Amino acid sequence: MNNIASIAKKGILNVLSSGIERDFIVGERSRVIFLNSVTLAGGAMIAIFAFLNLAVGNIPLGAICAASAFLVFANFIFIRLTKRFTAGGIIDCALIFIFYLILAYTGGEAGSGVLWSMTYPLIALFLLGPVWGSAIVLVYGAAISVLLFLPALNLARFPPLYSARVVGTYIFILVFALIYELVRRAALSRLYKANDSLSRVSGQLVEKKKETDDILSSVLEGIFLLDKDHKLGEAHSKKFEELLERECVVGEDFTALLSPALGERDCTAVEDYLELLLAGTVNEELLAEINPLAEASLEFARPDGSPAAKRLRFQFIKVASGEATYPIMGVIEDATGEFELKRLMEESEIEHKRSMESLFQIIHVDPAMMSEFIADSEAELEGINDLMREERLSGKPLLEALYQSMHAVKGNAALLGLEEFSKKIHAHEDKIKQKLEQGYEWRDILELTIGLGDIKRELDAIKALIEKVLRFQVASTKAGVKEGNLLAYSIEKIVKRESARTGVPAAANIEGMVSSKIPDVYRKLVKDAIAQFVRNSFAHGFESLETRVARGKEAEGRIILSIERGAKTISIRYADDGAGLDPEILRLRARAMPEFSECADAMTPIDLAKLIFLPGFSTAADTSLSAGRGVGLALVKNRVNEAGGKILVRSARGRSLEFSIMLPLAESKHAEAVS
Amino acid sequence: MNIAHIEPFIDSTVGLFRDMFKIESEYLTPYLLNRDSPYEWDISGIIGISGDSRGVVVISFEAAFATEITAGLVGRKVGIDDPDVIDVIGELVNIVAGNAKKGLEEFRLSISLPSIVKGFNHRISWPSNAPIIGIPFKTASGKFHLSVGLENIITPF
Repeated sequence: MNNIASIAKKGILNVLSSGIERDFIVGERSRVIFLNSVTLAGGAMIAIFAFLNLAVGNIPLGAICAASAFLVFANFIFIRLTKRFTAGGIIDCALIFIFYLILAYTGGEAGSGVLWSMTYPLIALFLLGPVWGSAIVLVYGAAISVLLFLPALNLARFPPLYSARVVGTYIFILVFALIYELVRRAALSRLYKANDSLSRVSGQLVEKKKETDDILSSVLEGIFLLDKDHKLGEAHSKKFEELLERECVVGEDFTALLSPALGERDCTAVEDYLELLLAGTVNEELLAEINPLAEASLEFARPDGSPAAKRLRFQFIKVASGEATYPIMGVIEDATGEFELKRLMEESEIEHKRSMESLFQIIHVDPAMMSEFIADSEAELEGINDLMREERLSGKPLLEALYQSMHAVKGNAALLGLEEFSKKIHAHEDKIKQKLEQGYEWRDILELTIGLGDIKRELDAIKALIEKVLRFQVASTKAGVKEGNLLAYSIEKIVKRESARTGVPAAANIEGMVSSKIPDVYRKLVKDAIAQFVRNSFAHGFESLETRVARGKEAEGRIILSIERGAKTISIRYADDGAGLDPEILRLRARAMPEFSECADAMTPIDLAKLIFLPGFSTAADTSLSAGRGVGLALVKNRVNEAGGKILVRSARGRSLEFSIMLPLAESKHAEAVS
Repeated sequence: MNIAHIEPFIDSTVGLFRDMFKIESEYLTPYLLNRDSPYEWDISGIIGISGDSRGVVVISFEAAFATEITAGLVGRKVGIDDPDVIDVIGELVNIVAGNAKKGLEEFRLSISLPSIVKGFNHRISWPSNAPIIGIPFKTASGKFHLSVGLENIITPF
């Protein structure tokens, strides 16, 4: 039922409005509806008259009516098709003008034909507007007057006074219709103006809002408003949602919003703080000091589940204007970066304090004991590093060995009172223990290696410090202790270690090795060279027990080191009582090398001896990284030559092998320990 | 030294061999490299690092490995002195450096263009006094080695 009704209504509206849209022009549509209604109504009426007249046999009038009706309907269609409303209006007025005149002229029942004319002012004024409407109405008025007052034309035979009253009524209606139309138009035009002004203001508001929106979406702080119940206002900056990583709903309670990220105690503190702010009784500066969210640490879960930890700085400001709906403005800044930096700086300060402590502890230790500690620790670290490098241990045994080494060094450090160093090692120990207990993978071993590197570096730093300190110390006459004899100690340790490792008994005699005679600049070179000689002695030199005994040597191999310092050169001598060089074995090896294969047979023992300094030359069966790779001696010779020195080898087959390194001395340039 | 700075290089190298050559690498025990000790590798790619951490990362190969990889790519047998070997190794190290860059984005580190050094017993001059970590790898085709000498600049001490 409803559907039919609404369809019918739509249909009628469409017909009457000639199908134009609602918002064509304000007021225009109603005019069009009026026009069409008048046209249709008029046309219908005229058609009825036509029938009536034809029915009673009044052919002329009937024909006129029929013609008029036809014209009116034609006009209707014209209006519909062309939408020329003004033209249609004019045509209507003209047709009605003529038709009404005819009606007035013919008189009708008791002269009632003239009554129709009274509606003419209303129709014309509305269709044609005040100016033209009045004009045509006056013309019609004149025409009607002529019709009524001239007896010849007055078919209804009105008395003059009657006619005057008719015309008077007509003019009266004209005037009131005019006034009505003018008032209507004035109101309409005011409506237009108001509309215009409204849409202008509205446009400006939209512009201004866009500006504010632009500011809010670009500002780098999170800005938001709270009402007196601590509920969020609609306007907030984009950053606000970004910082809190969630969408915020208008009217949401501020404390409830933060509670998953803050603790409960903090939430109550925030509420109390906001109340204080609203009350306005506390002075602003004091208020800023007691802000519980001045440096807030927030931890919450992101929408995707990942945890977030941020440091945010909240500021709350009371809005200036007196009675605002949202009296509190909040500003949030992301201070995570700042905090990080602050933390790093604090850590740096602590680290500095610790290193001062360390220094203090170090210079209080007896130098001799310190030297021994350093040599021991270095040996320990090198030992464990060798294990790792040569893949001799892995997995759990490696970790355990690491732990033990660390433990040993730590013990010694603690004994000497080196608290800080000891603590560092302890921390490393804990890490190892943790890995042992909780399981580990390759990556953890890498971490431990890095830690080992750090400890070694620390040790090197301590060593450098000690050496500096010793140089400034007045020579002490501590009996039996040669200051700065670190080198000799180190070598002793190396020998002991290689001996333990290879299972070959041997010992070093370092009495001739007053390492303080060696200039600083050569220390490393000499140490590495001797280390290489030691490795070679154990790998190639010392024979098995049976062979040694058969050769009349003692079971324990012997290594002798000595230093001779001249005016221009310093020589370091290394000798072992091993098997020495065997020319025939050397020759065999030479034959296998493409460069020497041809002349190998012709080479003298001296030539063959020189071969051991070639890179890639090696007679050892195994190629462990220690010796047998054939690079060690080559490297040593290289570096000695680079320093401007010489290296010599002397061998007695089956009895001994001796290396001499000669290095040039610059005139009194190097700082040396006083000996 | 920060392990997080090293891992991208390890992952990148292992990943490269796995993806490009279908070679699986076995991690061996890392250890401390002695700065002056002989360097028993035949060809190395050196990548410089600067920024929050400073130093070098060196990827080294033994001759057999380098030549086998190259032979596989150029389709003929090559010796260690063949210029193709340097090109191939250079390319590999470039790729490793490039891939490692992604893993280092979150740190303020920048990588230099790698240089290639060839020659048995070549010596690397390690910058700074930072400890040098040696990480050996073993594959079915031979051994290679990652040496990392990095020093943190920003962190305290």
